[in-house]
Amino acid sequence: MEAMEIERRVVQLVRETVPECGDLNGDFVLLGEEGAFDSVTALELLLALEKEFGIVVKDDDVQPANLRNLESIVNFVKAALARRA
Amino acid sequence: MAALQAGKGAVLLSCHNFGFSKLVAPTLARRGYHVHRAGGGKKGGHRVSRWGKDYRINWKYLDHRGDYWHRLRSLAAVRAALALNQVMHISPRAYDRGEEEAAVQFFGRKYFLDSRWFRLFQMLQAPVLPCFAIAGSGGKMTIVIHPALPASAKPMVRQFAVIVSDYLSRLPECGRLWKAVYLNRGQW
Repeated sequence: MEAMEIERRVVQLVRETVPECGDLNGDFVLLGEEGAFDSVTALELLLALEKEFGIVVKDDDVQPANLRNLESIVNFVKAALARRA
Repeated sequence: MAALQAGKGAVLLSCHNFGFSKLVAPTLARRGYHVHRAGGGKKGGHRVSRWGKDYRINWKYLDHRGDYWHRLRSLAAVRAALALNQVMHISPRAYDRGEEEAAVQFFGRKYFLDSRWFRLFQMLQAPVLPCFAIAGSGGKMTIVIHPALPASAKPMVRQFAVIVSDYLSRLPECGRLWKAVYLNRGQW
């Protein structure tokens, strides 16, 4: 899957999960103490990512380096898809 | 337990000292259910505990205190357990502020259940059954499991708050918030 397509679908999922999310560019924090998603909404997003991309988010994957902002989530999905392939 | 027949696990919801982890989770584990207890107050992260003489009887404790990422991993563990059709035993935290439908009456005051748990239950679609361990005369404890709450978060929390308020009015000695009441604290 193309990187642009992955990003487009991740953005769509984020906006479906939290419609009032603002500008997702740059370092806008999605997940984390200071992020736009509380922990329950974050889990909802993780479940949506699993369903959309057919990946599995493991316990060890749940950390800031993978899920903090849009860029890290897109990179995480790319890596998970590569692992699956 | 009939609630497990749908294959989506089941949540037993307690509060205060009505469902303390030393009783409900191990007792159900002894009867053959896979039980996880989620809550705070047990430092040291997740752990597996044993209960009774039979060392094959285990129940797992998920500590959801801690930073955001630990809480998120704990919620993912709750979801994973329910996906395996296991039983979660949870006591939502209380706050001095919250949504009106989550208000529990307690000695002329109100406290508020953590509504986030109920959003989670709605999302995971597991049946949620109020569960209260009641002490009788002679030291006998009875675990009362109520029928499932409504599946939507707001009616679910509203109905649970009514049930909790009723238990607290009948058995106030099981309440845990006495210090806050005596000191007339705004913060629970």
